[in-house]
Amino acid sequence: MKRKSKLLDSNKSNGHSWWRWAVRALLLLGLLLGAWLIYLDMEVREKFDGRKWALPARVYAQPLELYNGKQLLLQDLRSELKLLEYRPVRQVSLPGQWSLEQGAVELFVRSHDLAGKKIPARHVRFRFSGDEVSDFQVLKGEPASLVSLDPVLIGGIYPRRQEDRELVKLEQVPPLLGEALIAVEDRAFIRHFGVSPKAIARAAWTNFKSGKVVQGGSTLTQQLVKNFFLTDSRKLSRKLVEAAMSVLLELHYSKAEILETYINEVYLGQSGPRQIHGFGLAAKHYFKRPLEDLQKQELALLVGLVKGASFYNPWRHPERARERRNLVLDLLAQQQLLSAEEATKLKALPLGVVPASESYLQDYPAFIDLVKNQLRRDYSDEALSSEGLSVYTTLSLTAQRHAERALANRVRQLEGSYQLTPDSLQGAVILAAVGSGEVEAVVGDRNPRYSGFNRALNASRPIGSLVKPAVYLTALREGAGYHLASLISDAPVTVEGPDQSLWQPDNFDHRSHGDVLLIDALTQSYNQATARLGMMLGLDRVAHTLQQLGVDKPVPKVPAMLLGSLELTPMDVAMMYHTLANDGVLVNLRAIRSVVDASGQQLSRYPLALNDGMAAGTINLMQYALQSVMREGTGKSIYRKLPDSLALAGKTGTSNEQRDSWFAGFSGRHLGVVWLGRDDNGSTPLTGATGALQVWGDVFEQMPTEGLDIMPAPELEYLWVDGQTGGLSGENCYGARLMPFRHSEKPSQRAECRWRENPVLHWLRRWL
Amino acid sequence: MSVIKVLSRSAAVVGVLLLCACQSLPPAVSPVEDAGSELPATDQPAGESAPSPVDQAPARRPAEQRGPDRNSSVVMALEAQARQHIVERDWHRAIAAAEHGLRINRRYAAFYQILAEGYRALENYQQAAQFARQGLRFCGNSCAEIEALLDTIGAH
Repeated sequence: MKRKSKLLDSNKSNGHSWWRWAVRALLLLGLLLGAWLIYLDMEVREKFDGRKWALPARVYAQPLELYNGKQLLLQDLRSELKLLEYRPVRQVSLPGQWSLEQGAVELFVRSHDLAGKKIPARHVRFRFSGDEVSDFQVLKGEPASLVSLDPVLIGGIYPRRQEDRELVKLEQVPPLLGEALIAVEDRAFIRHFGVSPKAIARAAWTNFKSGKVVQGGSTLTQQLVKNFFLTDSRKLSRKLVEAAMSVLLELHYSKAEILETYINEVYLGQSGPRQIHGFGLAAKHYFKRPLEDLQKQELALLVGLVKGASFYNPWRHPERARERRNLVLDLLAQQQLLSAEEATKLKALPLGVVPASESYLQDYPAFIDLVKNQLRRDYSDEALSSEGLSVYTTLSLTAQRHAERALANRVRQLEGSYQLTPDSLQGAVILAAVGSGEVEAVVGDRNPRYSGFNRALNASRPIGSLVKPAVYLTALREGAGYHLASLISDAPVTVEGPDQSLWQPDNFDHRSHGDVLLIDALTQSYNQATARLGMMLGLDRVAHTLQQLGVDKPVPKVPAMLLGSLELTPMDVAMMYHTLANDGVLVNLRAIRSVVDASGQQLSRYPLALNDGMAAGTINLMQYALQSVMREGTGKSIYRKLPDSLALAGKTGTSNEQRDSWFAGFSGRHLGVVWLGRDDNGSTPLTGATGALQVWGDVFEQMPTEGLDIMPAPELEYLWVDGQTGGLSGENCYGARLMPFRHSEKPSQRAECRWRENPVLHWLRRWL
Repeated sequence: MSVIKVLSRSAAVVGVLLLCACQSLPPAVSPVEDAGSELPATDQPAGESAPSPVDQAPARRPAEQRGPDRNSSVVMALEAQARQHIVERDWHRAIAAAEHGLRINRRYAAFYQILAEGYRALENYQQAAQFARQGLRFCGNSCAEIEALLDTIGAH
């Protein structure tokens, strides 16, 4: 009995212990489940309440400004309006429309944000008079003497995963879009609590019958959770997390918040490496219109793409996309969101997507590189790719377009005419506004859309004769003892190096020219005269001049530096020549005007800052000499295509064995630097004049600009000098030339005068 | 009698004129007045040997300064806007408006003056002096204000 009772006790205690353990295990499991749910809940709320997406910085070109006197060509206005999606109409009545009737342009400028400022809509009218805007007036809206168009979006600064989106609020979304999404993707959306057991059971049954996964039972909330928080895996564990998170999401947030997030999150296509997320950006990607402007059949197409943006890609698979769109329209009709007749009518319409070529965001990789370089001094990569900053830049779409076309067309033409291997020549172009130092165009490759090696910013090459102005400026400094009419020798010159090596530069034409005027030695780019002059002045002093012009790279102080062995990038050269164009004032070239945060607050402005450069008087003498290069020297072929009345200044450069062809030149308003050469550093048949100058001319032929006005410094005066000897001469003397001199440094000897015409007649002619 | 008088006077005038014409230097040339008038074509006197390319095509004078600016209305509007910001002591906006103006006309002295005033108020005397000096280059005959401004900046 006792034994039996013992056994019973033991069994009882075993059962009790098992039960205890089971309860403990369940409790532990419950605790773990609870902790897990708390963790998931925290994760859900943290992401949903915080910043939901990493928003790339948006980069804008400078806005086109309209005012009386603005230099602008009609074709450039047309291009800009096309990029901004302004519609040509007969009668302008709404923002975003424009017309051209009997020479008068009417344009209804949309309201827009510009660097954190709200610009109201304005209806304006103007005419073109030559290459200028005239009769500008505001017909409707606040009066203004200057009106800016909306700035064109030219790119973004993306995180590694190039996810892009344009956020829309639910109230901006056409109601049909939300209704269609619910009708097609999740009919029980309004009723369910995050998951739909009925939909899961239906999908499980379908999958069981077909023996593979053919249908999903995910609700919109589950799809959002999957995209937003999880990976694409189809494991059961992931499915459980997805379901739990969906329920938690529904517990904390309203259906409207969930739907709005879904509309902004969903993946809807690809533009190169850029991922198109959300209906806001998708509307612009496929239709180039804002979401609120889309028609019903266009919304249906976008809703259809949710199932598979790649599979139903309307450009690659238009028939598939059309079937899918029509299926969506049928579903809308079934749900009585459309009438059957309307659905039939809409199904007959074409897809209406813009041509594939127009869907790509116009990208300017070389310019964006420069923007990034300048932004990285002030902003972290993370801030740039996630905080939704707006970056307003100095890019001029007109200048950029002309530079891209000129480079691409000219290198192709040069390869043809010199019978070079196709695609063997490469090039780079930089255009900047004189004075403000704003970079208006950067081309880093003959194929401007190529985003690889950026030659404009990174290709350091010997600059050849582009260095010569620095040698001559050193001579023309006050007190250095030279003026433009000083006679210098172009006889052969030999310089002994420290290792007894001899440097004997030769002229391009292999001839010596005897004694020549200093201005002519530069105009004709004589190597022997330049080398001798530079050695007499001293390498240190020439290097110092280069630094004053803005060259911030170490300058090797070797004799060959005088003829351009110095290696610089086109951007470095632009900096140097901008100082020459800007009357000696050194300005850092800028690509950014301002940065604005996601709420429209200006974070930083990049102001014009002046630095000490060189004395204006000395620079004026050089500007005059560089005009002479264009009129009489190595740059004179430019006036075969440009009007004689346009005063230009510039210098050609050719490196050893014609490996590099350079040209840097400026008008009163624009500076342009062009480099041509080969990536393998091989020789070319091109000189600066036959290569780079031609590209430069093609750009300036297309781009409205102003002639260079030398505004002489007070210490300068103009004198007639004899073209052979440099002695003082007169207007009526044969071979006399007028050129500027510093009061303190000018010719003192008189040259013999041979009259060009009877002096009395000459005097009377002048007098009368 | 009077005819003889006139002839003798004319002869004297011609003589003086001939003497004047013999000088090889032109009368003092003001660069601004001269600017824009192109040099006469370099017609070569008969019998002369062919000149070298260098002396055949003398360099031209600088292009003529433009008259009243074609975009003067917008320049004046921007100047008024910038000056209004100065009155309101909104220095940053004044600087931004003046920079905008310089993008349209980089040789308009008033914009440099406003920039100098703005930077002086912000106690950036180095930039203030740079802009004031640049303004002096383009102020023509009305430089007194900029000169006075530069003096006050120099005092710092």
